[in-house]
Amino acid sequence: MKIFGVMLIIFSIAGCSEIVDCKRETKTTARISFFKKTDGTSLEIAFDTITAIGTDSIFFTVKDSLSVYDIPLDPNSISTTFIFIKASVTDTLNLGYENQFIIIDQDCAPEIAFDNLEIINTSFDSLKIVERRLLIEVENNIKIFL
Amino acid sequence: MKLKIILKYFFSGCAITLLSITVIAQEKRFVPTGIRIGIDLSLLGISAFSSNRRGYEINGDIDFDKFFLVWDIGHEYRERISPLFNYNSEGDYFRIGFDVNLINPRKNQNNNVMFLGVRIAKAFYDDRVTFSIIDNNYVIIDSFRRNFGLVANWLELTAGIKVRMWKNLYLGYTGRLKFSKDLKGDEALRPFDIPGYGKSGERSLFGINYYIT
Repeated sequence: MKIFGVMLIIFSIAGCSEIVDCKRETKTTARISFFKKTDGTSLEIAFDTITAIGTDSIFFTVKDSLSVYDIPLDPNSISTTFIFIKASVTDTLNLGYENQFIIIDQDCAPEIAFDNLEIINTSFDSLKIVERRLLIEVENNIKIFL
Repeated sequence: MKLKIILKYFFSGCAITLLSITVIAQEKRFVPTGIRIGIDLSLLGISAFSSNRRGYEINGDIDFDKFFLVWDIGHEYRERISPLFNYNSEGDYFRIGFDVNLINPRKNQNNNVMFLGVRIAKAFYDDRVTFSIIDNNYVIIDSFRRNFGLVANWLELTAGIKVRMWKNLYLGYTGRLKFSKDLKGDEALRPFDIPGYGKSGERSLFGINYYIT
């Protein structure tokens, strides 16, 4: 009978000893990398602006000359259309995705997790999705060749 | 609808029980001596003192020598409130399984039980959340999402005791290791709680219930 008394204590302690980990595993941005179409090497490029339909925010300006851009997805929708303007050329990239509301714990801020990224429509000639999940550990979601 | 499904499983369990009695009663020592019906005191106690959690759980067992056919039926509402969201889930659940009594039945005049057992469990429920998330790039999200018709399955290893206190009144507890959870029906909202199980994000959980039978 003693062993069942000990088990009662273990069960009770196990029920109470809870450590909350609020660490995020998902991200709300899609990572786009640019490459040269000719030899496939990384391409550093500056756009006049990168914006999206549905927001007044300008995510990047001409000051940002990068080969990798993290563009924020609209959590209110299941698709976001991004507009890339460089000189007189305007390109669009319409991305579709699923999003799910996640409560990690009552003591943590909730998050919107994105998944199943897809290209719905685009004016870019050559691009491909390399990773559909939007996780912090993922290095690249979309490769665009210019 | 969910209650209908629960009752269907309950009556199926009763039918299996009666069939089992018919079959194994052919050997005299497996003839049941009685059916115990009880309630979960812990959930009733929580319901009495908490506005964020309420419910009930009825359980029963029937003995076949040192083996027991055990079932639980419950209903649970749970609310999680934080400055950024208000989540609630509500639904029904049941568990059915077997216990083995570690006390020798021939030396057990009070029908006390010290058991190890297994259960299969199933929950049918809905959940919803209202929330606010501040996004730096888009408008502030202030919205709600919900799931209808969630179904969760899991298994349990159990251990516990039931001790005769007075005449046919027994008190006891059941410790549960819940594992192998499977959840279906979640889409725009990842469920946080499962009635009868606890936090859905946990692959395995310990739980304890105190029963009066």
